Amino acid sequence: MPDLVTHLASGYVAAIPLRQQATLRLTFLTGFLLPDLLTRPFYIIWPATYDFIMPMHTPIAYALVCWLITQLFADRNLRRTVMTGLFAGGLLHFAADALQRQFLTGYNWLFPICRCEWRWGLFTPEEPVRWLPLTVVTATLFVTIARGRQSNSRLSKTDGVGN
Amino acid sequence: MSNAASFEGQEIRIGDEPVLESVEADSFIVRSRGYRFRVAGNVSQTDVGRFIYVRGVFRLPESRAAEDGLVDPAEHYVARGRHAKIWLSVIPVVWVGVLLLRHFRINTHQMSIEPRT
Repeated sequence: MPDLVTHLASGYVAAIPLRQQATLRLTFLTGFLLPDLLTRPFYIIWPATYDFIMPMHTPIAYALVCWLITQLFADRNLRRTVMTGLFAGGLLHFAADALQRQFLTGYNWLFPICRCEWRWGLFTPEEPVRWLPLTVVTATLFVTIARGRQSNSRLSKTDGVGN
Repeated sequence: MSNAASFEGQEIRIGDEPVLESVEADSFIVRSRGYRFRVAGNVSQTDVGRFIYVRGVFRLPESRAAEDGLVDPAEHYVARGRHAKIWLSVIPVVWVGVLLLRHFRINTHQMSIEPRT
């Protein structure tokens, strides 16, 4: 996995079009972190739990966890929004993880249907830490420029109404 | 490791957060899940305590007192920066946690979560 700062930075960039939908945007950002939050703390502290925990870092089991989380929300529309945000964010998290090179085994993306692994092998799991300053600056630039554009387009719409 | 003999001569992978415990001239000791493995290879430039992943052929040690297994021949990968990665990852968790607490509240009557209005 890239570190969670990298995941969140990519999440902020991917969430640019969702700026007006606060709940969807926030759950989408949470989805970028959730697959690792469900797994890493447990097996880093208790390595023996690895085999039981890691299925939650695969799309099918992750979808089930997202569904369970949505059951904490009373409103039906809200549940749908939370499910969409968490799952979409999680899928992009998995996509980022698939870019990595793994020394041992990769991720079984279609678990429990098959144990097939698939990875691009572009960088080692630790390399994103070295690029972190660049990643954060680039993501901040993207988000700032996008906000500026959205504000400008809103202003020009308001001007149009005034005319 | 009660069935260690059944792994004799087979390729094994040590990937459950294995930590470098000590370094010798032509081998090093890795601890994973409470077991100690002597691995063939030179990691003299690596600090003890780093995460190090290993794959290689498992051999039974002459004495189980010193280590639980030998891995020879072996390849290894030192995860330099993994500690930093773990600690840095706390920041976004706290960040998003604060955002979630600001956006949602727990309705104790309905035992559900809802957006703050």
